[in-house]
Amino acid sequence: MKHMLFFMCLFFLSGIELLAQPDPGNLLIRNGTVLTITDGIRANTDILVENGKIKRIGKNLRAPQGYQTIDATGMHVMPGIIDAHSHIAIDAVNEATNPVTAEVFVGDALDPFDISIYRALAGGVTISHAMHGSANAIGGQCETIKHHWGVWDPQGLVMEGAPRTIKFALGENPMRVHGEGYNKMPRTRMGVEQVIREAFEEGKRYQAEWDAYDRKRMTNAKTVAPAFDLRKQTMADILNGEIIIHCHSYRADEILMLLDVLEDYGVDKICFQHVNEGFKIAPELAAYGAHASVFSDWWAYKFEVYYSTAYNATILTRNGVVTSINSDSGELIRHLYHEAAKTQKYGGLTDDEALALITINPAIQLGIQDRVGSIEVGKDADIAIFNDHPLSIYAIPQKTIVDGIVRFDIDSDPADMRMDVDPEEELPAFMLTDRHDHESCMKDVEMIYGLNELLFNHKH
Amino acid sequence: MEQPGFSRGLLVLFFAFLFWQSASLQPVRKGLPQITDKYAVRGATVIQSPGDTLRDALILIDDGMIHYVGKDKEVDGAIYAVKADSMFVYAGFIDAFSHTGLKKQEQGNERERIDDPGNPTNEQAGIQPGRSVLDMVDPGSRAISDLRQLGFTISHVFPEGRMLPGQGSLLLLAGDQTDHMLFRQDISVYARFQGVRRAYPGTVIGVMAKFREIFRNAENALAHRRIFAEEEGIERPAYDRSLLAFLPVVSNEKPVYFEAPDLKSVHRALALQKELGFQLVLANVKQAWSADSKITDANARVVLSLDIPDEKEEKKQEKEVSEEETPEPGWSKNELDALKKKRSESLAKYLEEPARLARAGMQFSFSTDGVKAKEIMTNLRKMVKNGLDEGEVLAALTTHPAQLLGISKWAGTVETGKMANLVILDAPFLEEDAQVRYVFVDGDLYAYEAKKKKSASKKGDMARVNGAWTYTVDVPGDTRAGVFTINGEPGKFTGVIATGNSEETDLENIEYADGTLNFEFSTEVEGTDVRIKVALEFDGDAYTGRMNVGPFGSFPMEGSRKSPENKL
Repeated sequence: MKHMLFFMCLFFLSGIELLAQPDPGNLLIRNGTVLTITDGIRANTDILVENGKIKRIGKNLRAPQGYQTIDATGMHVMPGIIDAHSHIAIDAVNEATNPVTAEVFVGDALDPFDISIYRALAGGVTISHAMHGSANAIGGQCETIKHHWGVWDPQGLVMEGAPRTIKFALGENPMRVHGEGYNKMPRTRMGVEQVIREAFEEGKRYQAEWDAYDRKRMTNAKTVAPAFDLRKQTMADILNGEIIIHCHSYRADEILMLLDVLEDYGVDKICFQHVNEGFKIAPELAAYGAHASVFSDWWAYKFEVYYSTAYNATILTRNGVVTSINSDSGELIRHLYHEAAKTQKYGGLTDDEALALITINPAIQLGIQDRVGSIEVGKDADIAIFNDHPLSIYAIPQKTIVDGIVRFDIDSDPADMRMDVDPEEELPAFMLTDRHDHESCMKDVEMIYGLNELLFNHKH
Repeated sequence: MEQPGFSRGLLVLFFAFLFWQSASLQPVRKGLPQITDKYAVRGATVIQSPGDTLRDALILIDDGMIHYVGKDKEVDGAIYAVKADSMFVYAGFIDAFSHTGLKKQEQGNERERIDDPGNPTNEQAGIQPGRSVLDMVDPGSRAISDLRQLGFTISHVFPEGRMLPGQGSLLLLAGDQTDHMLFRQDISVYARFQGVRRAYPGTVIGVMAKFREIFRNAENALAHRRIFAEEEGIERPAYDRSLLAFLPVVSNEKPVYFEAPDLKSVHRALALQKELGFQLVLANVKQAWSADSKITDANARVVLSLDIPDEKEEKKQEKEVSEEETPEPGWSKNELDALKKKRSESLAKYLEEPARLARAGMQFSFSTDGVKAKEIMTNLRKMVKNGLDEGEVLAALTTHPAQLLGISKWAGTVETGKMANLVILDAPFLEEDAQVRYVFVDGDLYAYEAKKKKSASKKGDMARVNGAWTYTVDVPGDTRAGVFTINGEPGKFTGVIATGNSEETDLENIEYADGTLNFEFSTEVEGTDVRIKVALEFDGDAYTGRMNVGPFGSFPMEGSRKSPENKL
């Protein structure tokens, strides 16, 4: 036992030393087939990464001393995959107690120990959009996270400078939770519209109240401030164009309804999520400048999601809608490149179009396209290396790099990669409680519906 | 000159022994006319403060205060002598965070249906930062006497609840009435990342948002009140108890004790502190690695939990190693080995955390919340075994909490002019067989008989577990009760467990040794077979422990021997 402790001490001491010198993110990826997304394919090309940024792209680049070199001969190198809709790495998904909870923020509940982050990395995904769930007409604010697996501080996941985003939800979920569950508005789709309109009105009134206070205070310092209300403040921030709306939606009619509402309030930053009937109204979405983030071929898990097609992404893309394919699942997130490839079977998108669905397009939807989503000089070194073309069914991710640091390496992939392990856990029971597939959008709502409904009804 | 005092002392000790029979510990003067409130503690090694030792010393106590600590002094008058030759005297321990001695509350309103869950009352939402703990304390509670018997003399006690359960008060761990125990009232505000069921805030994200809003509005309220006091014709400020209770937090007069047992909570509390700026104490901390620099930057203080991972687990690991030939279905040996390795690394990291924090220069105190009294000294020894300096342990029990709580002037060291809070043991306090013999709380003396070393015969020990036992299990929002029965001898135990519906299920893998009983059984939950594992520790005719229901979690279980009269 004493020897055991001794070795453990050694183990941790060496661990601490490693931590003391943070990896600056310097490396050279040599001789790969580089899929830049925005600038074609470059054969036998090197990428030099310095301090986590792409410094040079070219042939026969030399690595300064101390730079790690990765031989990508025969491999495909693409920008890190971006998932515009997920619920991994957060401890709370739904504050399902009120139809409007604009003030809550999943960035307050980041979980850097969620093994789903590592699994996503193993699928080449470097960024995900950690979203509030769809229980409320206006849910909470979301957080764009970088998959810095290995950081212990939750703040270490945050993509600093990424724009604020917020979750809205139309249709059955808010109707069921608040209408059926609490006998409150919204009970119908009409009600959802009015809940959203009223929230915007409150935001407007709140802004006016504070503006009046600020004016009055210029002449009289002893003016009493209005009550502080984070919820109304957030609605005002949306009206001021500071927050991108990501709206859970399926049916064409209610998507058009929300476009009308947003037009009335002068809000133009909108990305529809799921949007299974987007194919019916693709020109209208394009005309508004609305974006769409869809599943490749997943539907019929509840009544409002029956009218769907696997051609959705293609139709939206060809109509000029900025479209992405998302996971909404800790399982699908591991193979978004397969999901993107399905658009070549259903609709015949080109390689570039298909890859854009999981790279530059979700980046645009999250407002981070200037920093990520393609391989360009000056962008963040978020890079996924595959042994084959990523749209090939034989492709296997080899290495995933986030900000110049290798966070997944198939050659160094021990059996247990978890970070914060319960020292008293029963083995191997932890797996049972650690699943992330297919129920996350309505997570934390179980207190209302009970376990059974949660298990047997998918509710994205 | 000493003779009279000494003989009275014997008389009093005799009574103490007498009381020992019925209840294990009673204050010496209880039930007797008080002979004197002057005491002389003689011949002991006095650890005045960590690292500052005085041998063969005399301590004089009068009217609740230490009047003298030194080598020699004339003593006269009626004085009660505590003969402490070869004993060790420390300042009474201070518990920096706990719920010690709270009355058993009825099951809360958890099951109440709230009509408008988005707009609950503050009470329904668990937002009661103004509540004082004083009405909730039972001075006769066993928790108080148990802690006192370990040498704790002051507890920083908080109400129980959800997001903002109330305020902390300092209680002396002696007295018949709460008012007699009271040392400092409402000195801190307690906060948790705990939402309420079926109402806002229900989750950690709701709690964080609500905390910001309360804080900002308290800032507003403070300004509003100032203007209202100075000007005419101003609308009156809102009179909201939760806001009022927050005013001293906003004005930095009271610290917020944020319960943060896990690393993520530590970081969340620090994030709120950075954003809003308040005095932060991280309470019940079990892991703080990665947060050191942020804790320092925030000038936050740390109260470590005394509830550390159980060493029993190590035994269990050894057991599992021997079962490796038959790994669980669906798991390769490699995978299981990796899981076990991770778990033992994690265990080491938790055990080493107090030592690591001390090395990093962190001055922490201890919380007794969530730990059984009888495990406290064991756990402290475990921390020492994992590298924590013994002086640091003593500091974390005395000088550090005194400083944290702002009572260094009166408590935390053995010095002239301090409150007479002392613990006297027959060996240095961290030694395995050290026993507390006397405790002074505010000058009141409690004496404890030296316990005999364990010598229970194996057979007798075994027989003790046989019979029928009642149990209650606290599952979220409910308490389940029933009876289980054990019969047989080691290797041949049999048993059944009955739930409330009196359905009986056979127990399996029953093992009993050294007061610890383990068994398992299977039951159906939501149409799925679930394996339930139970581990209990027996103490006479009562036991406590946990029922582990696989993926559903692990729940506290307790009970006692079913009395024969009840047998039907």
